[in-house]
Amino acid sequence: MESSSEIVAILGAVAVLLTPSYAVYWVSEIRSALAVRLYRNQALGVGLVAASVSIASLYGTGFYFYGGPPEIGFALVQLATVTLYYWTDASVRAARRVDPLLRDTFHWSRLRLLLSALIIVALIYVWASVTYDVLNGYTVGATPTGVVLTILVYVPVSVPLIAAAAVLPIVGLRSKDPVLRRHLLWFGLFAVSLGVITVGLGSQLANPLWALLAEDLGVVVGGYCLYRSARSLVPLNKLAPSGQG
Amino acid sequence: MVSSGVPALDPLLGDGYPDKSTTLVVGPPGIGKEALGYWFTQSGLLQGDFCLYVTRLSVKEVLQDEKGFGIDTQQKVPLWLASDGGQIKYDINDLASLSFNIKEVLKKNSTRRIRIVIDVLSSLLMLNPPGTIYRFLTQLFTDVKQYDAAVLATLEEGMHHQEVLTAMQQLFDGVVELKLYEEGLRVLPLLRIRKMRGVPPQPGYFNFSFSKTGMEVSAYGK
Repeated sequence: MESSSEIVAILGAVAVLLTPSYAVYWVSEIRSALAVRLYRNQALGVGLVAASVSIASLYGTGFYFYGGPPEIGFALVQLATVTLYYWTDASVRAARRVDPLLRDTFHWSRLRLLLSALIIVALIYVWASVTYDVLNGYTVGATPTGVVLTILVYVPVSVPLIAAAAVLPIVGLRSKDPVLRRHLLWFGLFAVSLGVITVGLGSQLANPLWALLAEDLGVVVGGYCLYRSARSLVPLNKLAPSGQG
Repeated sequence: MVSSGVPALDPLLGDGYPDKSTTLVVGPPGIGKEALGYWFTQSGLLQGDFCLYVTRLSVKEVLQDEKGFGIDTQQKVPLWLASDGGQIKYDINDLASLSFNIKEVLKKNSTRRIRIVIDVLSSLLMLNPPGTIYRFLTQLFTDVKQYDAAVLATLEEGMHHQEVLTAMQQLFDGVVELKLYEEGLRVLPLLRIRKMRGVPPQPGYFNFSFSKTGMEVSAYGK
């Protein structure tokens, strides 16, 4: 391991830690000022996504230099997508509430029950199977449960991604609330930057260190978008000088 | 005076909302402006006033919200004019019917003090030209003030153009703002009485917070 590449990676990791953390800070400030549970949950969702993406990325950096169990990496990816689902659910319900016609996009109030059950069952099955395999010294997925595991392992990742990609653009386009639209737009930019820079650019680079830095860049740009998304959850006013109106 | 149902708020309003008044509560979604409506209704029901709650949500959703603010919804309840589950059906596309239903309720209960909470203004403004809603409200308030009635309405911040918001505020006797303010790296929920009939203008802000026992209000900066 070259020390220069390690220093570059550490600097990248610091940026990956700080940018989403700033988004988490603003989310917690705004959340604590809100009184209604639905909107508090929406704010919490943004914070959880920022924190989980940051943690997953930091684990990726550690994995690159020092290795580690890939199952943990996959668990962190699942954590990020499950938190995405949590935010999606809160956002769709918040959007319905501000919609003058109370439109329930894709019958979300019922669909969410099905999707939530699917994700929970998949998570329980996958991690019970992985734990069983690890405790008994088997290769993960090699046991008779492996076929079902192979199918279910992608459910907690794919279902939240598909749900968010399918429902939220429609919610955003339908909504007449500029605040909600701005929030969704910045969150969408987070997803795009993470997808384009981290996955798109990162996978094109032959040098693993450059690929790692591309991933960090994606998380930093995405973290900034999440910060803007957090601040656009509600209108933030400036106090007039000396507290006068 | 008509008690707001929030003991800490009444002194700021001049011992409650003025008689035969209309008050607008402005704030972003989720800050708790509906809670002022819940306590206003609750206080009225306990005092034997007739209460009408006009909402675009279902009664079930409003009751759930009320529970979140620690309000006992098991005892007395208002008359609901709601999209679902109420005694009178609310149709957002039918302004004439909304106006007619409110007037009928006023007539039938003309011997009592009446409290009306309206949380449909933002929706109405989104679906209709502002001029239509101004005319609708002007006529409604003229009718309401013929009775011993007080109206409390909520309006979402950030959803409407500033000029619409300003014009709406001019229609009401009182305006209470519940907004989020950025102070350095902090976000503060602050309350301000923008105007209130019969009360001298108060330029100051107040901190507020909600608990299971109600709403706490204190002067900002103390």
